[in-house]
Amino acid sequence: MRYDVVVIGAGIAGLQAAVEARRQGASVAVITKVHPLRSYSITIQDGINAALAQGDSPQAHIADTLRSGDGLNDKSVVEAYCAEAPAAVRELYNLGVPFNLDPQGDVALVKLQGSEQARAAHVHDMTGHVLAQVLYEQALKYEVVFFEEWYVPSLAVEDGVCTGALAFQLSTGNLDLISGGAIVMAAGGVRRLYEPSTSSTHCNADGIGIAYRAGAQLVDMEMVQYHPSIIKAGRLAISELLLANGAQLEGKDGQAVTGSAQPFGHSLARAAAEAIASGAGEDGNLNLKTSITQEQADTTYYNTNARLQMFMKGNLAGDPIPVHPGMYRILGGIATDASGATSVSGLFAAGECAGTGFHGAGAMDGNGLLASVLSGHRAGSAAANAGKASTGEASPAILQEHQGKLKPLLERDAKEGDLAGVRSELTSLMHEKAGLSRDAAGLAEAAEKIASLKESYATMGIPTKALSFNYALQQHLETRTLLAAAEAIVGSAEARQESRGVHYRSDFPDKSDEAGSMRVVVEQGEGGPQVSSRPV
Amino acid sequence: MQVTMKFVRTKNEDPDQRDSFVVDVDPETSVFEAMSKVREEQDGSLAFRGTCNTGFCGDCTCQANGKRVVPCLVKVKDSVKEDAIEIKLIRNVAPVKDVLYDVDQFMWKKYKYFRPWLETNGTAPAVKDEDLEPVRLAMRCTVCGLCDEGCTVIDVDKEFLGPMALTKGLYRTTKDPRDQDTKQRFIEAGEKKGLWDCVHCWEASEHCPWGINPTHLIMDLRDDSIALGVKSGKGNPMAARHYNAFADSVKKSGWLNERMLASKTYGLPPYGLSLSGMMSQMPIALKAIRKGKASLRPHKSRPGARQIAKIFAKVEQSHKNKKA
Repeated sequence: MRYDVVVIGAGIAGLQAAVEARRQGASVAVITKVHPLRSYSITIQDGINAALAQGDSPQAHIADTLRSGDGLNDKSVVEAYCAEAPAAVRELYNLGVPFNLDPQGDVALVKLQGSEQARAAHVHDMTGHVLAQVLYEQALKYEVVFFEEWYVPSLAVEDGVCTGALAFQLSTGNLDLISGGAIVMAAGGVRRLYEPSTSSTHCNADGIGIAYRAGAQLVDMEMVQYHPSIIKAGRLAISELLLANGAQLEGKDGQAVTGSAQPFGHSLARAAAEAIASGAGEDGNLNLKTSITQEQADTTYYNTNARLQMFMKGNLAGDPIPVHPGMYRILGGIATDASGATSVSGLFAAGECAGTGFHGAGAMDGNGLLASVLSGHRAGSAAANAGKASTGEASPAILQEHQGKLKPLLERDAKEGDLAGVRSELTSLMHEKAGLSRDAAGLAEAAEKIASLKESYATMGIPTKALSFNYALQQHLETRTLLAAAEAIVGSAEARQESRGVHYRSDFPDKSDEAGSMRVVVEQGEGGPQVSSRPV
Repeated sequence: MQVTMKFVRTKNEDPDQRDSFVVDVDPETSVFEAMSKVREEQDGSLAFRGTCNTGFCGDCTCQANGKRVVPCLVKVKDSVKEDAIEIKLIRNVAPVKDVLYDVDQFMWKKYKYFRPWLETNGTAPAVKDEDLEPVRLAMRCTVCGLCDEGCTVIDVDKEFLGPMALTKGLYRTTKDPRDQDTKQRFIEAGEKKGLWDCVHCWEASEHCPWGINPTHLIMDLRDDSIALGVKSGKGNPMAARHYNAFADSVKKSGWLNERMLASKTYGLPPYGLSLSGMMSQMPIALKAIRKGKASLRPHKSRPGARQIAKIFAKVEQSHKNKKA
């Protein structure tokens, strides 16, 4: 099987990359471990930023993005994305996104945290849900080939060039090799590395971990952003739209908890964690209070409110909602240039797993969806050019090699629960030592612990030998990518000896000009992460 | 709390499989989390879908203690009975392994039949916000499948495209004022067992967790189809004839003419002529007459039939206006 472009992941970024590559005449396959409409993107509620309002401008959008990014943004990427955003949103509208419209029939814009202007186009509180659907519709229209419920454990890299992806069909357990002239990694974030975090059992650092293990450079991995208001049942992040529209966090005695810096949501999350630690919470939660009307709760906030009603019989209009902070997204990832090209020839990256430099040290609300759409667009376009020009095909020896590695893994003695033990240790470790507040001692302890978890992981097998839907096998491979991302995050956080954006070091609470002029780069080395830096 | 999670494991070939697991869970978290905990900690061979954990992905639909649910939307403490939760497959699906079923056959193939992308000619017509609200309603759907699971037509005919596909495929596109291919879509929707096969039992609307009301949307689609002159479908000519003959009878006489309804449904002009269809109904008709269920007396208009005709005229005019 060979395609000009092989995309791994079918969230918004992956679908956008696939559609763009098809438009440019490339043959395209998308490999995804869940159906495209089950991807994490569909849970994103807030909007997509674009300077469409009268009086707004790409310059103003750039300024807000840079302020949120706290000096670490790649300015050229910010300038390019902010300039392209209005056309991108219009195109999404023309493709069929039913954005909310204003009385003139233009795309209605709301002001999210961090923006000085009303700038976010949205579809009620289900913007990601709808964007993913419309891009999936387009992928069907353009006859993109989908490998649905296939899981990619590794990339094929030969002589420094990425030539394809190894992939399991989950229903049969068959391992296959899918060759590509160019590969786009768009396999999402690292939510399952942290507890508490927002939803999704399948954000296991697949993209970041696989690319790292294949030799790609990662960048800005210390930048892990938290959300201030998650509800326990369902791990639902309560809409950014609400925070932008005056929702407040309060302690059990009514004391207000508020953020003071950009990005606001993360700053509020840190304040909330401190308030809970100092006893202001009840059962580990603060109360979220809104001032919205019942009509707004039933329309603009329908998706959030309906879930609240099911989970906790609560109502956004009136009831205080018990919420706690949790990990939300990673801002760094596989280092890319403006086109989406990574440090490995033939490999491109888009979406949350890509470290484009757009967000810098803090992502502004409404810029996340924008980055997914535009990084997908660019990576799809660049990959189409590269893939159409390439005639290479991955060599069958790679498949044999990987099949050879898999056999002993399945034959090894294994105990149920071993992998879950590694994962649960890892998630609490990351939250405590590499979460909202970090310091040298804690990070060193985390690095040591991760190294020892890696050692015990290396001896673990797979208790279930069945071929069809062997979740234990998938979990085994996902644990490997989680461990890879964990060591990269901890290594990067150790290297940044200052506090900036979402990265807070209690032992270096201030910004440093020297550290702020560098981005932390990490690569897989012999015994662990190899950390270096490069100028912003 | 300690909960016994039981799984009804279908088509699982492992001879040593377990189906009952005691797991320690927070009663405030979801049933899906409890299922996941069992799979991660005790048996990695358990097969079920589900990813997002917030009710957005719609992938984990199953039965929990006999209720058809999206388990990530149900708290453990609300589902548990005598400290146990039994998980099993939903109905109307082909099992693959344990609680995992052939979702492609069940829904995605049917959804794709409707070419669910917009066909535009490049120019976007002027659109008002409220014009897009029906589209947003259809796109709210998470494809959890509870509508198709409860569908009484799919229950007897797996070919029926079903309320999910009609909502997310046909309603989503035809209600979008930016789409340029609406009439052709209605023609295609009648070529299969599609738009005209719903029997309006309202199960879909009862089951939808998101208040989308698919049954009502299907009725709305039929009106739109008729307004565009697409009054029947090759996929099930009888269903469309039945629908039209029903309306004709009430419009003309103020009540239902059962003999004409049956005759027109099975093939009498103006809805096509099928002698074999008519003959096939003769034994039932004779039996009905013998038992007094049907009579041979002429069908008379009800008093007030004229008012009913006026209501029809009004509704038809409003459809015409809506179309314009």
